[in-house]
Amino acid sequence: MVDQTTVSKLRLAYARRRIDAFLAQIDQLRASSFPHKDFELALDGLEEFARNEAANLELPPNFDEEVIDKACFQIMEVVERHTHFLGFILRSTNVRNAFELHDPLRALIRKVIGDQARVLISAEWNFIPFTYPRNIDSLPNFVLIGTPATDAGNMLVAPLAGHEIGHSIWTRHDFAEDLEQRIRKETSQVLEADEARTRRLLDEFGMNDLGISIVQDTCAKRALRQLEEIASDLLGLQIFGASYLYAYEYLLAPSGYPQDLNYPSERKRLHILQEQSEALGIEVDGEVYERWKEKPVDSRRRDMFSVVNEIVDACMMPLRAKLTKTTTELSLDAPTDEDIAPVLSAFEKGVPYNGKASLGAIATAGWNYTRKRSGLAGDDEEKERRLVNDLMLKTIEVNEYNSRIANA
Amino acid sequence: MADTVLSKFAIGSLALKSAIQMEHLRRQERANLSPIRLLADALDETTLERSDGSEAYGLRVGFVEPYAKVYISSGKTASSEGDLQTFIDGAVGKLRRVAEEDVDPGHEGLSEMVKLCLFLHEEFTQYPVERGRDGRSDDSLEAETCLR
Repeated sequence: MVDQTTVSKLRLAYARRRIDAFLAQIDQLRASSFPHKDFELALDGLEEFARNEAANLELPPNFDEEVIDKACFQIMEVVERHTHFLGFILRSTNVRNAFELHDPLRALIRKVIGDQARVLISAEWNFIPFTYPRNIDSLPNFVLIGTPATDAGNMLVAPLAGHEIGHSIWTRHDFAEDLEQRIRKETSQVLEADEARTRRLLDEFGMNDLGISIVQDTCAKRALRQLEEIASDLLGLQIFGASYLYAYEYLLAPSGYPQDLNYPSERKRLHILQEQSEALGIEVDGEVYERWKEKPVDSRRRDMFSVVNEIVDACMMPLRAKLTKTTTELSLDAPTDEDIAPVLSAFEKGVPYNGKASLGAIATAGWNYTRKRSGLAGDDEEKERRLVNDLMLKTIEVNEYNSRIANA
Repeated sequence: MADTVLSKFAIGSLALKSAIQMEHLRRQERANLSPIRLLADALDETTLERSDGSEAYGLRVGFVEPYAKVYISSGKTASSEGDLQTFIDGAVGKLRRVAEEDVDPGHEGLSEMVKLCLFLHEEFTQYPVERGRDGRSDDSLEAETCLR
């Protein structure tokens, strides 16, 4: 007969070795050369978190077996969930990253979520910009922004960071909490309005009162997610102006992916962005909105998609009100034509702009330059592509220099 | 500023720490009661305020299904969201009593609370099996998010 105390002893030992190996990786990463202090602080945060979790393993082998198993499982989860953060931090030191972006992005993020904000930027082996904007337990004050490694250093994709910053604003400024009651109310009304559809959904979850609650909660959760994506788009637009839409088109058009319940359809996102651009008076080339594709929703999920869609539509007005209140409080203004014109004019002359310019104005000027020349994709245009990218980066550096001199 | 609900992973972690400390109590060993207090506070944040002091008003968005699973794991049958809220409110009260050292180590309720915490840990901590095409997990409060 197997002695369970021996099993417990071994399992605890293996879990301890796993977390120790994770901690050893953190130590090795400390030897890297980091471009900014935020990276070292991220390692400090991860180490503290891992040590706190490792403390769960300080159990005698004759402790309750179920508790020991869960404690060992927890360590697996911690290592699995956090190993990719270590990779992110390692890749952030690679010279392919646009280090020039760190300080201005951090200044922008501090403005919207507070002085405690820290930023990590890295080139990722994923063709999607992504972040972990919600409070990561291990790194609660960090915003992680990844750009696809294939476009690392391409300043034209930088405006998509606006979407990721938008997620942080959503969390830090309690958008979900403020919209939750309205979402619950709209969910009930949408489900009551079409009894046959609701009955079909209930068939999936059970017909009793709890079934209704689960259907309501599932729909409300998805609607909340979609509203967060919409808010993040609109905040990206607010921060970066037309360049947000141009970068969005560059990375995602013409789309054509299957629809996902966590995201509004591409056409809907573009439609909402168009409405908002017009409302804010942001000048955007009309081609951006054309020929977006989307796959039809799977027939088995059609009811859920339509319910979520209707809840989102019903909550757009309170969402817009919350956005207006927040952007006013934060003094977030989209770049105007007057902000963009002198930057573009300098670029046309082949020199960086040496006046004060926001990231949005610099990125929009870069995009206007590029779009006027049909995207600069020709083999003979590589020099010019590099030139406009360098002009954008140098303009950011000049702004940073001027700002430091002014604050000295 | 509205109350902020901790991430599901954080609640799961607190549940494990609480289970460990309550098991220490059961074994009449020294225990740190602060994770138990924090878990009680966290669970309390996931229920909405009662509208008139008696009527259940519901749970925060995203918590009905996980709590239903925990409830069923506890061997009970829920028929409404109100049942779940009452269940969580009851758990919060029991956790607070333990945190205030108001429970005898031999009390059989303590062993039940250890089990409940392990169910909560399992529900909130286990890495989601289903992940979206973008690698985004369904673990709402700390999910990776991306542009699509």
